Amino acid sequence: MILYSLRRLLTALPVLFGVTLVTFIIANMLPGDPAREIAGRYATAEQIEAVRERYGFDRPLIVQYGVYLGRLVTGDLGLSFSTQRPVITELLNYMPATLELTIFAMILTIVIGVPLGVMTGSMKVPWLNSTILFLALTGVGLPVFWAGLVFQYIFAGQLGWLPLEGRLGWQLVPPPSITKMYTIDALLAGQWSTFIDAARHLILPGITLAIGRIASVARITHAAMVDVMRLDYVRTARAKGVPNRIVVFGHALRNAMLPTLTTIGLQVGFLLGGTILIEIIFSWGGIGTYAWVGIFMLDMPVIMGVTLATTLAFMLVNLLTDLLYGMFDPRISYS
Amino acid sequence: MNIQATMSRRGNRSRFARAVRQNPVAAIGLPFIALFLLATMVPGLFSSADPTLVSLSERLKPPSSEHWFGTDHLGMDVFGRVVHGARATLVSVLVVLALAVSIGSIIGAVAGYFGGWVDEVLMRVTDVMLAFPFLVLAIAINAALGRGLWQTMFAVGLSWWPSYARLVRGQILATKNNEFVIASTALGAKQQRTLIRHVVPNSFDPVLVRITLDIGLVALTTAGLSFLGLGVEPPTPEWGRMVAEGRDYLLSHWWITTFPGLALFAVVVGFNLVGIIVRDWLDPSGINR
Amino acid sequence: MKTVAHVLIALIVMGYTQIVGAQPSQSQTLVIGLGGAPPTFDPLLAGSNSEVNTPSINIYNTLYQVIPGTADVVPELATDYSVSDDGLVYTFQLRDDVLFHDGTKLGAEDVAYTFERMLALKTGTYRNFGNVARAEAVDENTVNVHLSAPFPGMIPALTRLYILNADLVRANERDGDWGQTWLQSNAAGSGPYQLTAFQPEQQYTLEAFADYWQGWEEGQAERAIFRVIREETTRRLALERGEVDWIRLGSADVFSEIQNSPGIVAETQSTFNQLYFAFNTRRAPLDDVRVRRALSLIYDYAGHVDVIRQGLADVARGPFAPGIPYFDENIAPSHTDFEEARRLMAEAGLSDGGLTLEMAYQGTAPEETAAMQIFQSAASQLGITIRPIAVEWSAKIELYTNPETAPHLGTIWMYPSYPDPDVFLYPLGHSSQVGQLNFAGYANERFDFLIQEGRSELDPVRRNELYTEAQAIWLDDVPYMNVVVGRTLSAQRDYVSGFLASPLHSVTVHIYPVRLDGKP
Repeated sequence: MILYSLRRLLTALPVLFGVTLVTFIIANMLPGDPAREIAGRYATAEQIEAVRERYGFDRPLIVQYGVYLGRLVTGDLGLSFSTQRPVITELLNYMPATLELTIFAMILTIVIGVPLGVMTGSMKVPWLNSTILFLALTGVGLPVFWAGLVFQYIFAGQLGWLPLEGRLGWQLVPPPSITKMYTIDALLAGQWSTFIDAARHLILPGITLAIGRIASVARITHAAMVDVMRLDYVRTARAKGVPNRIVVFGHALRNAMLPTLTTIGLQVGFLLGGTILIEIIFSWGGIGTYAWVGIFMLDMPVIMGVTLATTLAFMLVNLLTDLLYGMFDPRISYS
Repeated sequence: MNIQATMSRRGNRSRFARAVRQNPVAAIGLPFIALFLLATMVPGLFSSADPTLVSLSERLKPPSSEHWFGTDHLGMDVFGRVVHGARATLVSVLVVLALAVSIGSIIGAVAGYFGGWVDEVLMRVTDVMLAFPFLVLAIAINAALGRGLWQTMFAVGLSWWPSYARLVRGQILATKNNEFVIASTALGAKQQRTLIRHVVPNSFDPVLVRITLDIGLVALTTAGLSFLGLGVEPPTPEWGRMVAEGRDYLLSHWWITTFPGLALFAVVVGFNLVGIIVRDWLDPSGINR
Repeated sequence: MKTVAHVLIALIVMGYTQIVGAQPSQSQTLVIGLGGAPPTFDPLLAGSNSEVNTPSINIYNTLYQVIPGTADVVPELATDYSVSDDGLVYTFQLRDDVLFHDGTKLGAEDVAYTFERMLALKTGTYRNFGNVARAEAVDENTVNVHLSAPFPGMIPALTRLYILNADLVRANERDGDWGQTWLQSNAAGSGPYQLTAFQPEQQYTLEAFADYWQGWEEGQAERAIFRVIREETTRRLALERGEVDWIRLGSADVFSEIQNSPGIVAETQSTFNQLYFAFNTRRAPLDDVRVRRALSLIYDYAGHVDVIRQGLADVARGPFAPGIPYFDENIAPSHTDFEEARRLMAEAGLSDGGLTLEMAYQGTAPEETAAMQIFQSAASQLGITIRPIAVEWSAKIELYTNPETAPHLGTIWMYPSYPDPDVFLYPLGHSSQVGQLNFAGYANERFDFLIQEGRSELDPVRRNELYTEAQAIWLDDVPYMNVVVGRTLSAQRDYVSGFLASPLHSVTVHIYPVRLDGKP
């Protein structure tokens, strides 16, 4: 098990290296002269040249890549062109908002999707299979950007059940920042009304983001449960009169968890992709918004920084899933 | 492994019928897909309006007998644009998957077949592309090569091949060790022939299965990128772009955003449902899910 | 299970009531819905970024400022000024009753420091002050500013030079950055409001400075919250539901609709901001003036104003709008004439068109996208295909650095920060600006001469001659299509009054003049 984990970690290193290389290449493909961006819109030619020399943009690409790597190791992601703030600082500032949204969506996914799949998979109702399948495929097919606009209009605009946008009503002061996630920080500070307000703001974007993921997980769990329930030893247990609950939770679930786990891990990739769309529609102010503004300003350091951050997050989740998989799958544990 | 399936390629049609019968709910998707494909091939059948004609006097008209889906902010007929927009969706799905499957299969086959350090290197490259966010790739390619549908499809295709590489590699590895193959090698058959006659065909099915799972996702991804502005250029109709164009008008002129979104939703769900039937048809034993 | 549910419900209800009873002084809080977030609070950047100009005009003061709603400039921090005979030295007398937010007095030192800082950093507002050489404090309340050449626009240009608290900024300097890092999220001003909170990409809060030298009246906002809501539909919903009190509008259609919403008042203000389509005069066939003139005659200017902007704009008349000094009243609005266009194209040998022209425009701006599509549609009638290139500003500037390969056509808006022809004609038409804002790649010796002379000419009669001729050359040569002069659109709840945008601060939210009356 330990060897497996170590080996897994080791293979992650060249991948990380590869990602920085691709990011660097891409950044240099983007149009826009970084020296000019930094010097400012109305800078003269000499000023631009001076900036170019100072930042080393005139050196050969290999050298620049080397410098870039060196800076990465110290956590220096450069300065944003438009705000002149260190990208790493801005990333850390905006990350918690996106994490809050993503974690909430993941919780919804697991808490709703898994039990739904387990329940329907362990019941022997004939039409249930088709219904679940249909609902799941519908959920997965929902265009996130369209759903966001429509839900916002209906639930916030027309019915007024939920807030329209943002993370917190303007009347409230954000709680003292520990994690910078308003819900958690409000709880930690005991600010109950702030917590409720922050939670209410989380609902609409969170649900929109989670629908497709809930559908996916529910379906895979359902299918896995159905398969496992059909296995001989389960049928034997049932025939012998073992109570259903023990059959499901004691035996079937463990084996069904493997594909479920893999799917949950995969969902993260989708979540990271969908966040940008949701954040824009709901004015969420997280990494998605940051990336979006950076994209249109062709703010190279920002784009590179966001790329590395999301890639790292993705790889970490994959690593975690693989390790968890290793724990659950006896074949791997004993190798 | 899949020898049974390979050997029983007869009776395909009867298996298709059986697949449909066993999944009645999935059959709901069939008419949607049929309509979709028809719209891409003969849009004129559905709408005679010019989807790119700017007509300022006709703008923002609600759905009526003259304009079934109303008109948008530039007076273009929304129904006509939805119908013509189907083509962009189909093209993007085809191009992206063609790119992804071809690149992925080649890389996966080479990695699986040669093994050793070739395999290791190729798999690391695959991991890098898998982890890399497709959005950034799309932006970069759009920015470097200019905005457009082709550039976006190229970018998404480049991001999509890793899963096919892994799939094909897995199949090759599994089949390499298959008794049948070992047996025929022992009997003196050349490696190349073995590869082509046995290993490769057996890889097809899981790839086809994966394709059916991916169609809907690709459509959503390219539409999402178009929504963000990285995709078709005006005035070409495209559903994701149309949803974006109409969003400022959502409150009083809901039809501009709603109909293209619905169309996208319906088609993606349709593909997902039909995918079930296709999978049952190709792989009734469910081994390759 | 039931008890848990009951407890949860009780807690949620409690939470709601707590929110409602949260802030007692909500009625004097003004909530603004913005469409974008300021990248920094450094007022130096207010000269080139209107998102920065909004907080700056509320947090800081300038030597001279406009009367809200007009383009007339009156003294603010300065009480008087005098100019040397050669026009190269300005002497400003300052008020001595102005306090910074930290309680210290504002003096000549601070003004001199602000100038010094601008000259060192050469960014933002610097673009208006290229002629300034140095500034020095003569005594507590007198400042001398030295120019390298006479500058007729000196006084109006000062409306965007916000005076910083020199001691405070110097105390927060790091590695010779002139306080840029600190000023990203802090302020050092003397204006009516102080920056008290800032959540990037979400909102920032300004609170009234009790000791503001201009004093306070009943009904002014004690607190102002600027909320970032990028989606226009969301912003509109927020206004309609009373969650915000004032929003900026981009879409003229939304403006027309929102006028009928109960409790909402829609407002429009005229500006000098003008939209042009630049012809790249260095690429065939646009090097032929007949082709340029023909293309300038096919655009549906009236349609743009009447339909796209719902009448809330004016068709442009020449290179700059009426209201700018030395505007030639004889210039007629741009007009459409397809017959003449076809005749010219035939003369140029292109009667069937058969060309493809690239056109760069801002893809995220609905008005520019619509304008491009209208032009595209019109051009197709001449047999010309327009290939659209959607780019944002940075990428567009990049495209135009090399005039030989820049797109054939490109949209460009000019936002003057002071009312003077030079602000339009120099960046767009002077040959030295090719590769920068001179998207047309225009280089005309006579035009260059006229502009160069006009920049440092102080005699209004002479300036009038120069600029009248310049406008005539512009209309003859058609380096640009003069499309529309825009108006800013906004909407507010009916208990809000006093929003007056000045054409010189057109996309800026100035809240000191605003009054709240009966906000629930």
